[in-house]
Amino acid sequence: MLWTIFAGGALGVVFGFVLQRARFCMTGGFRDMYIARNNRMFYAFLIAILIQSVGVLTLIESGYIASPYKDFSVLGAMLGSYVFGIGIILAGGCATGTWYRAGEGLIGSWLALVMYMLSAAMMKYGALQPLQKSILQYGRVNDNLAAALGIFVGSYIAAKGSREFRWRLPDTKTLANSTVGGLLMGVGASLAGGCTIGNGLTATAVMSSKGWIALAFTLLGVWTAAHFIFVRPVRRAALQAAV
Amino acid sequence: MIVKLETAGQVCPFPLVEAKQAMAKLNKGDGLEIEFDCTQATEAIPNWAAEEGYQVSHFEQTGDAKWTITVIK
Repeated sequence: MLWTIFAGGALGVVFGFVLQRARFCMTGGFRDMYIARNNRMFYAFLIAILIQSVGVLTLIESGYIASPYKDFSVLGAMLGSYVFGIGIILAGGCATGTWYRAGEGLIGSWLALVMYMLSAAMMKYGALQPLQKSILQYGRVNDNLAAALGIFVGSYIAAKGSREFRWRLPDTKTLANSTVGGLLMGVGASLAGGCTIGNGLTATAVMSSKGWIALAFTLLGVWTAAHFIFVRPVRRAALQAAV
Repeated sequence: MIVKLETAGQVCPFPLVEAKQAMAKLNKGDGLEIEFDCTQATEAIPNWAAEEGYQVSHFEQTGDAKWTITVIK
């Protein structure tokens, strides 16, 4: 148990360092499919699913791990992923992206994280779950939290080293967007039972229908929010300029 | 004419969205000087300029997590 927490944390540090330097953002990748007709990141994402699929399916076939995606709520995955997609656009990044931006010193991202945890906790403790299940989840949260904190530390090291760390105060609009985005992420991830990585990357890799449904609806959510936040205002500005 | 656009405090991709809106109002040959502090925009703004065929006349890191870029329409 202690070892998995340590391994999760160490992996997180490396991950955070790489994410910060690469300016990696899956939310941006999903968004640009719609607003810039650019599928580059999405192809990279599909390749990542493919590579992970080989590894995870090998582990499942050889009996080391069991596929955790046997039972799930289709409606939950659809609705939750859609809400999550809207949330990550407002917050300016998915859970992973928000963690590494927090490491860069963005106070708006800190706020989104707090709201995310708050609403996820409210969803979790509001729903009655069998005790055993909640204990299992408690164990998982620990590894995940270690990895998430690791991302934060790794990103901080990378940002500091390249003179890209500074405490940055968001303007009021960003503040509002981060708050609402974080709340929606928590509600969505709880309903769907996962985020971009858990459902979109891992569940898809074991060829679970849950993962692919979640990925499709996350994309729809991202595109819906992107339309109202990015596409419409730009179009309106262009029209005004033409008049 | 060079128009200044301050986007500090905004997260990606809002600096780019504001840049696009400001650019729509400019005439050909005008420049847009964008100040930003969102790390992801160090990639997003030059990419956008390249796609649109705009020239980047100046691009500099002015401090810790602070950049300025001038794009000519």
